[in-house]
Amino acid sequence: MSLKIDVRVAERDVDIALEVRDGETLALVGPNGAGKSTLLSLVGGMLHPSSGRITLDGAVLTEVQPGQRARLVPPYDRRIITLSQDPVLFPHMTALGNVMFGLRSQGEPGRAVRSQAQHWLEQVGALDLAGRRPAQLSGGQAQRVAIARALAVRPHLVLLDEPMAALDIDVAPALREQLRRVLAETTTVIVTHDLLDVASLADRVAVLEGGRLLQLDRTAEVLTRPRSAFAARFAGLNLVPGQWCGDGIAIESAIGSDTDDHLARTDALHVHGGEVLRADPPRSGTRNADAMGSGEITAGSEVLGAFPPRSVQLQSLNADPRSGDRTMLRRTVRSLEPYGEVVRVRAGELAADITAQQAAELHLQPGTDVILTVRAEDVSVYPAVP
Amino acid sequence: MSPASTGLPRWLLAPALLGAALVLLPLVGMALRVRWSEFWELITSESSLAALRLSLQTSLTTTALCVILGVPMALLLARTRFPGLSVLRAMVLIPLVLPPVVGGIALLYTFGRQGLLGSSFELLGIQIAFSTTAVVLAQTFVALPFLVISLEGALRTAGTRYEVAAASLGARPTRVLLRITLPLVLPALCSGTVLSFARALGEFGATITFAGSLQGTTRTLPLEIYLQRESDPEAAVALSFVLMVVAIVVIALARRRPTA
Repeated sequence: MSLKIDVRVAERDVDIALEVRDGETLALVGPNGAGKSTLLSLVGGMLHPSSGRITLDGAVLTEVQPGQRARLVPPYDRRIITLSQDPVLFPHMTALGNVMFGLRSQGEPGRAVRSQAQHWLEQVGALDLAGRRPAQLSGGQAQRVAIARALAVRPHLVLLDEPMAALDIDVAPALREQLRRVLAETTTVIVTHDLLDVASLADRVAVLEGGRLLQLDRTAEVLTRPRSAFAARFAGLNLVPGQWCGDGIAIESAIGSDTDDHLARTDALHVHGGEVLRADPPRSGTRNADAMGSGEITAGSEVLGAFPPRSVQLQSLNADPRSGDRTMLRRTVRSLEPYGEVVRVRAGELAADITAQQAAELHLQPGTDVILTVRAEDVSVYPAVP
Repeated sequence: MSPASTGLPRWLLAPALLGAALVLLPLVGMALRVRWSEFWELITSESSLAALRLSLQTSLTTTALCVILGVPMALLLARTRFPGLSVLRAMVLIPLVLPPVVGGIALLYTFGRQGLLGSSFELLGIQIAFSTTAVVLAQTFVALPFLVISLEGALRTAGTRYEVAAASLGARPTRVLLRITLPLVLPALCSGTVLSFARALGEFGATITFAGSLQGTTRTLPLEIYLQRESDPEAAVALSFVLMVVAIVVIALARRRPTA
């Protein structure tokens, strides 16, 4: 079932058009207030747009056009299931009763319902929980029962709204794997803040911000070539916009409104002018470039450079004799935080992962000025406009 | 737990005990005046039995009416949004704060012979005032808010998430109402029903104003007690004791926690 959305919600300043292909899993990512939940509510029929159209396999679910009578299929006729972090199991029914409720609501004949419900509980490894009430289930168990209940009604579309957010980290991987398996054939839209959810479940990723669609591409593409500060942060990458100058990116300024605070922004504008981020030239004519429909990157064209924090090296300001070099990025340390086995240093708009020993040797603390160098071969350069 | 451990000032105890005494002592005082040797004869006299029968009959009818009318009212108040909703919600509570005798007057000028609707009913050959129907109407007028507010509160507390989930599973509105919404608020529905039954059973002011006091037709137990107080105080005390026992049973029922 392919889902086509083209909607506007005036009071929430949402204007989004996108398509979810038959059988694929599309991840919606974006900062809070980007319009992700609004989009799910619109598709589920819990919210109506000020104008627009939503179709599933060509059949109209929602159509609101000025001067026309709105066509709004009620939620119970959409066969669209939402799974959120709250499993919303009916507390007055057993796990089996919950699954049977959905089947009966679809008008399944009475005799088949019980065995079908048991089959679906078995699919998620929850058959032994059939007789329990929701109050007697753990978070992960309840979520599995909710998945069985949802899939039992053979939904045309599944909407996942941060389904793993409330779970223990020991439970989430198993459940994610289970979801991946049972949703393989079903058209799915997942809203998440979790990179792992995206990496393991999504075929494509839509990046939303401020009620608009910023980027929609294959998961690997979005995670390696993000087009917005949010997407870069989500993918754990530094993102630098600028102009290609043959052997690097001439940095204009920090990325617009998305840096963390006003101070960092003005600081970036004043300090970064004229800097160059050394980068290997993009290999044009590769498959990726073709897929993006981009031509050769020529000098002066607007580009984005993405690189992981581990490709960044830090040096003390005074230690380096070449500190006047334009290719050395000078930034002020904003914060230090432990990040697994490394220390993540946020300096200006950039992040660098260094060892604790290095951090100690450099006497790093917020306010310290440092020089950042980036390995040129680690910088992925691509056109700013696809 | 002693009061000291929760940090309450000790002086609270005096007014609290005084208040409890004010509620409980009169009940004890009345119970002590019951003449147990004649108790059975007093409450089984012809007029007492007629009043008791009428009270039970009208109160049960009223309770059924409260459920039939009150559940949809509570659902609309809790689950829909329309202009004037908050005003309407406040209006529903009026019978709770209005002196019942005023309610009786209002009913009389609506359903009475000369009333707003009464003259139309008259043409159809139906006379409502001073009939058993009037008793039920008066009781429903005062008892309905009890069911509506307790159910509406429970519906708001329960929220709509289960209903949304049920709808997305394909359940139509009636199925959602019967299988999800009402089962989830069943405890509140039960206690609301019991409370409205109790309120109907104790109704006096609106009844005597709107329905009068005809033995076997409109003279319910509270009216009977009021009349007997003059002619046969012993019977009045005995019947009062019966109503008190009913009240205690009702409280026990309404407070009972639903077993999971």
